[in-house]
Amino acid sequence: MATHTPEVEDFIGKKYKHGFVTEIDADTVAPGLDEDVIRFISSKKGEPSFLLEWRLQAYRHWLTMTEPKWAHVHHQPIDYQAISYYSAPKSKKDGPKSLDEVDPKLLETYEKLGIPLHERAILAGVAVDAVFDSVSVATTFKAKLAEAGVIFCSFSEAVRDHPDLIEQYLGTVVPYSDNFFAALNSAVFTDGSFVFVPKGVRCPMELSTYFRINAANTGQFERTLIVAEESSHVSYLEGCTAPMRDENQLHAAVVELVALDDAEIKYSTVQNWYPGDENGIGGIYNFVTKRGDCRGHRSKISWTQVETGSAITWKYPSCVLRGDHSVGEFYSVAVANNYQQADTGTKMIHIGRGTRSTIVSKGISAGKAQNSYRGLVKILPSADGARNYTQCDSLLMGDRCGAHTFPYIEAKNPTAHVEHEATTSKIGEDQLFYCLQRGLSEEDAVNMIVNGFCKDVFRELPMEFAVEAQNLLSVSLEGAVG
Amino acid sequence: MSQTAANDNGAAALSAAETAFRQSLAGPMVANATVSALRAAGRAAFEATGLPGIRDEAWKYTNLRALARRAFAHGGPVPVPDDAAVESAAIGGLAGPRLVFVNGHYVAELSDLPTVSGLDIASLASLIQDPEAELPENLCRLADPGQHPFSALNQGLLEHGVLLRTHTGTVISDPVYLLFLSVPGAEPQTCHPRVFIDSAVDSSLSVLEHYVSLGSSQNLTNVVTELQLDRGSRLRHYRVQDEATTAFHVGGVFARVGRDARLESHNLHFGAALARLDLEVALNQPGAEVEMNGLYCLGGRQHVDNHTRVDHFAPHTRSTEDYRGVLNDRSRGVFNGKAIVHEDAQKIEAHQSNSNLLLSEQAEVDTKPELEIYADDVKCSHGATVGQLDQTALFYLRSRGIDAEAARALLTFAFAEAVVGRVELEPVRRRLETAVAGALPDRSLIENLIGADA
Repeated sequence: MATHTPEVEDFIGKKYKHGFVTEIDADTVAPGLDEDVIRFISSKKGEPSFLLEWRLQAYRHWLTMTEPKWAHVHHQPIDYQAISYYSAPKSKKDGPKSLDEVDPKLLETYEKLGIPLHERAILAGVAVDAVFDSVSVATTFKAKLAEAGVIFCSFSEAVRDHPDLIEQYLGTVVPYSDNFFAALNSAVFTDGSFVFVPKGVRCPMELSTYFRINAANTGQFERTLIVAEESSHVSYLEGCTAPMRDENQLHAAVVELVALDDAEIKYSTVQNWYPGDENGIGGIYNFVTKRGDCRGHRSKISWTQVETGSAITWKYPSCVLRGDHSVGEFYSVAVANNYQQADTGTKMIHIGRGTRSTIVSKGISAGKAQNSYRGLVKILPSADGARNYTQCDSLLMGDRCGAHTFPYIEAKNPTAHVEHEATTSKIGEDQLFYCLQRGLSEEDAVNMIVNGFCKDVFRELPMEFAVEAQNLLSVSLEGAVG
Repeated sequence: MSQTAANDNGAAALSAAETAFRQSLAGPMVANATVSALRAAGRAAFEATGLPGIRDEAWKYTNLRALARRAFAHGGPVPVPDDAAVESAAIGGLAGPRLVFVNGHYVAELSDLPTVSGLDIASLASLIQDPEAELPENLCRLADPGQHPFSALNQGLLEHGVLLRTHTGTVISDPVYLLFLSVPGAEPQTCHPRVFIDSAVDSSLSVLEHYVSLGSSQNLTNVVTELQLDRGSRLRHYRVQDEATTAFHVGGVFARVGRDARLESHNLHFGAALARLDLEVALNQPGAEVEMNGLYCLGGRQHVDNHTRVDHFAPHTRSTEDYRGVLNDRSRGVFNGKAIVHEDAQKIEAHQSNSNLLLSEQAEVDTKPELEIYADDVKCSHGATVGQLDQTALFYLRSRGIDAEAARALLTFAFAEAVVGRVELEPVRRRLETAVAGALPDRSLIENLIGADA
């Protein structure tokens, strides 16, 4: 065991720098959940009747379900009646028409987070649909997208302006009966993003949403739906930060992706929610259902994620490879420090002929954290010539952390080819020594080795995210040398 | 584990098998107080859990429906097979003692027990009626009945089996051959033998457990083997399961490995309609080591489930595992390998691999190699593959003038031979090679190639 220098210790103890609360009056419903709350949310958002009906069905189904216990995580029981299911910024009254109309306090918040909304949007060519708590407050570059025929708006707007599309696609990838948290989300989701890329269109810019959890005790239930029609292409970025707070917050989002013939969806996530303090107090519970449906032939869905935050992360972005020769990809870096627990992975369901999937998962555990990879590769009898390659590597820093791998492989077709490889090790002392001997500081050396370890995943991230991801990794890990 | 898990529909009624098991468990008491206490504990554990169902994670891919439908008879008269049948079933040419069990019962007339210096052999059945008999301290303590319902059942019906004990510092060169014959009766039988092997300090021993059916038996063999390896000992444990493809086989092998001791486990499945094996190894002291080899060659509608688990409790322990499957027709192979490195168990090496060949459209494999690691100074890896024969290797052979069929046969055989080749006992290896060839579609071709006599 290498001994920690004072600077390194200092670094380990680095506080979460995005911790602050913006005081904005929130139009919040009292904690608790029953059918009336769902009716309230639905009427507040002026939803058509089919959606209310769907929410109620989901709620009734949720009542029959029990919280799953199989994940390799431990937490206090969640009191679902103690959560407030609706919170919207007061200043939404007429809805902001442009950035100038947005509550300056909100904009300030984004500034503190290092997201200069207007600047970034122009400079980076990124349209940002920022979700502050549950209602989207700013959407930029709409015109440019509209020109291309791309619909990119908050879920509420989509329900209002494109109810037919919502009715057609909502719940077709993740039905409300899918799992406990998906059912809960379906009943009470308040907002999210909607993307529709019409046939043959290549989305002219990368779409980005910044999620934030704000008002205290408000669980966030986001719903994202992305539909890519034939031969279209879209890249979507999702990034998160949250203010520091002591009470655990539940986040149960649902993301649905639909790719038709020859379409491609690339979904990238940088997740940096409050992970709890160094004693494991507080932090976000992140129980997310993400699934992509490669419905069309030769379609492609690619998930890339960098998970450094949350007290508990529990998510398995999956691909249903239904169309012949469709492709699914999953690239993940999951970092867990202090008392963080991550149980994450993917599912690749091969149904169509000649379907291919690639899984690259890099887990890093430090402190007293537990990091698990849990994945399923399923080859159905119809998936002739299916191909899967899985690699999951774990890096351990410190002798009190854990790294676990639970890969399920179910193969029912003799022409399929499935490969799974996993390794677990700590940072090689010889590697570290080599770097130190060349004059690098211990921190820089660790940083470099860790970045090298994650290179295969970072390479998949869009430019803007790759830089952010590397910085996040440094903050989350530096000094935690084992 | 749920009480009524064997019933998928959740009905409260117990299955035929479970009812029969519970009746057998209520059998008469025995004279030896230790055995009585062990039985009572086993019975209580089984009654608490009942038969497992597919909702139990450890039985997710193995449905016991076919087994649960049968009310297996227990403790009936033991049929006496004729010598010729026994000899053709047995692996010949092995020096050393041979113990033959028929439906779990030790049959002295068929056995051959020369005195081997440094080795004690005792039949369990002869000890349990003796109030004075001293049983090994760890008998039934290496297998946890609370975790394994079938082990609990076995413990609750503890009667038959064998105890082997080596003396300190002795090297026993000839293998001990335990032949378990399953002979069909009027109705399906069940037996619950237990094997306990105590490898004393610095001793060395090889043991072969061989399970064969005579005729198309529908019996259930539920065997538990406990292996205790003291400091510096070495044990080679061969387990060959070649029961009839109508039979049921459930086994548990539970090992505790001490300082600098080394266990070699070879576990090969060819037979049974439904077979399940739990192999659990605890590496308790620094320097402990285990090597696990496994093979399942299946056809028809066979279903074989291998669950292995290695616990690295101590630093400087090492485990390697290589399990391979060849699946033909509508057979199904299940593999679940778990390596757990516990806190403070540093300087560990754990390597695990599971490869599967699917030879037919309807064959299925479900594999799950798991790692759970709570220490940081470790080198752990695992890999799993499912696929068909390497096309480039096939092409290579064809380019050398070998026809496609022969090339395929040769490569398939070679795939299995990687495991079989590690068996050091020559007569056993020959027998296994024949069995592998027999389980493959192009039997005569392979036998030609390897020059088997069969």
